Amino acid sequence: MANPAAPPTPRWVKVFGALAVLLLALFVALHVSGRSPHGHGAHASQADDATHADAAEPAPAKGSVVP
Amino acid sequence: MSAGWRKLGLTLHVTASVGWLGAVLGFLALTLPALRSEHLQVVRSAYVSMDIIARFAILPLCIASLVTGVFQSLISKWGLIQHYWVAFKLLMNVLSSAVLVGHMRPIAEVGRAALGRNLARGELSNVRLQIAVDACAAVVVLLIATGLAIYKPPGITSYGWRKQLARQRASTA
Repeated sequence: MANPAAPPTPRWVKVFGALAVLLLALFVALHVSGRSPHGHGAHASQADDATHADAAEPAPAKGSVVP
Repeated sequence: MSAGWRKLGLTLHVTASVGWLGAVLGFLALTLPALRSEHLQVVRSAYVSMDIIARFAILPLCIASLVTGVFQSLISKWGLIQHYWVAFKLLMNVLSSAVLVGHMRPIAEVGRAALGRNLARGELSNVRLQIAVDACAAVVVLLIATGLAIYKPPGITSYGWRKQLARQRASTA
């Protein structure tokens, strides 16, 4: 006996899928093009160029703000 | 798996997922004073707190939500990729976790900078804005995931359909 056909894909799945693909493509495009606010490596140069307002005490060199 | 274990798994998953959303909301609440406050001490303490929340609440709860979600789907009738709503939740969870892990560094970087000194108004502005945008996006994604978990919109995948047919045949045989 042949298998009964699978039920059709619901509309909400198609809408969610399209949105997910769109957002994923946007996210990847922004990161690859370096146009995201935080492009890869962008923060390091920003930190170097930054104006230090009140150098009260030195920042810890590495790691988290907590031990 | 007994009903008791399944309920325990569900409890852990709901707790981790809702806790994750709550932690991100707390993080998001701190982004406003962090970006807008005129008081440098408020800005500093906000970024230091955000780093701590990210490391000790958001990241562990994110991993816990993913692990308990996979476990829960495997021991329940829903399966991991048999129903679209579960598959979408899994996809969103995996992608959110990947983005979170990838963006932990800038959070730590700003937190570290804020720990040592006051941040000028425009300093690290792109990274600080990115952190706020990330938090907003995370809240939206987590709210959608919560909605999917509650409404459980119908829709079975082709894999789920084949499994369902196999179960029906096994029960009638």
